[in-house]
Order: sequence, then structure tokens, then C-alpha cells
Amino acid sequence: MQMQFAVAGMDFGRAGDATARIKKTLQLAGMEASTIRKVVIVAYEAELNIVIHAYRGTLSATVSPEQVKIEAVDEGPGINDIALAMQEGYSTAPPHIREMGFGAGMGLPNIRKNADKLNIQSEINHGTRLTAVVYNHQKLG
Amino acid sequence: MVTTVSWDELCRELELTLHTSRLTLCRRISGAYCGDLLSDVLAHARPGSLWITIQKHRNVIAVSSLAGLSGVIVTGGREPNPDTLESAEKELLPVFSTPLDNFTAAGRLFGLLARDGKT
Repeated sequence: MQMQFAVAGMDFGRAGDATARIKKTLQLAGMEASTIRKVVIVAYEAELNIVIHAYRGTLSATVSPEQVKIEAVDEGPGINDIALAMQEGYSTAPPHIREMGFGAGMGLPNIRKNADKLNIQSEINHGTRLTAVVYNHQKLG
Repeated sequence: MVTTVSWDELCRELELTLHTSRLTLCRRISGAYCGDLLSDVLAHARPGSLWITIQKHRNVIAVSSLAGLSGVIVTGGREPNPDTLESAEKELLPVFSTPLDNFTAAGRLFGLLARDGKT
């Protein structure tokens, strides 16, 4: 099963809507609560990265009984130094975004902590593609 | 397990004003989390927690809903934004304000929850 949602840059009014739809679908599919929690964190942070930093993009989820793959593809300024961006506390978000409680440099570290696999490719002045996989660890018995 | 703290007791002890309809008081409180960074709350607040924060914009409701929280307490006498309350009604999530600051509100709530061993 695959879902894809358009995400607009700076549209804070709808920020989180795509993740909420993904969460609902996973709940209806009966996925493990611990898996859903991890996917929600990964998807929300990826969605907010598009809202905060990019012009536009898409958030998609590919769901199977074994795993959920989240892909965030955007058109935007790109990430200059991915290793630096992965460090907790590093952010390029402007002050007015930080005042809202965003842009504290926790997004990518949160994704890394909750994803079992993570790949980020970025091109300056073009955009970023983030792919994260969360395994669905089913309870035995 | 949920706490025996009632919404009325909570409102009294934390000097809360409820900004959403009483219909939103439909969840049970099972703990609390205090923080103003949305990523931190999403990553660390447990489902059923009450969220104490200075943030009053509508993204607080999106995060609360995604994290399965039981309500939001906006501190420092700040008034929640109208679109925050509109989203909260849709999500059936109670939003309160209090004149107390984060520290004092969290301290009083900690005292209430400690009674039930929920801290």
C-alpha cells in the first residue's frame, strides 16, 4: 500500500496533516503501536523539514506487514553539509520559526533515532530526498 | 493506568481556564510533560500525558494528536490562538490557559500526579 501527499513550504496551517493521515492508515491496518509511534516521529519531522526549509515537496509512505518506508522529496535549497545537519542542535531555521518551537536542530536526529534505515541525498539549490525505513517488530504470540 | 485526578480538581489546583467545550474533556490523564520544543514533546511525551507549554499556535494540536496526549495547558496567561482552538475542537482535545508559569504549573501538577504514583 502506498500513500503520497503534497506538502507546501511555509504552510504551517496544514503542517502535520500528511503525517496524521499516515498514522490513521497504520492504525486501521492494525500495525504495532510502537511501530506507529516511530513512523509518526519520522514522518512528522520529515514533513516539517519540507514546511520549514523547502519550497514544496511530497511525503509518501509505503506500507507492508514487515515495514513502513517514509520518503520525503522536496524542491528547495538543499542541505550543504548533511553530517553537520545530523548533529543535535544544529539548525538553519530563522528566529521566527524557532520561536514557534521548531528548528531546534532535533528533526534529523529524531529521524535517525527512530528509523531502522536512513538515507539522505541532497543537491544545493535543487532539493533533498530523505528515505527512512521503520521495521514493524511484531509481538510474538 | 490512569490517574484519579479529575479535570475539575486539575482546573482548581492549576488555576486553569478551559478554552474548548466540555466535550473535549473525554480523555483520561496518565501523566504529564513540560516543554516548548515540538520535536522534544513528540519524541518524549507518553500517550495520555498533559502538555504544559508556552506555545499557543495550532501546531501544538497537531503534535498533541500525533502523540496521543490528553490535553494542553498554555502557561503565563497566554491566550491560545483561535485557529488552535478550532483544531482542538475537531480533535476533541482540551486546551487550557493558566496565569502560572511552566515551573509552577508543572510543580503543582507533579504534586497531584505523585499522589497516584504517576510521576
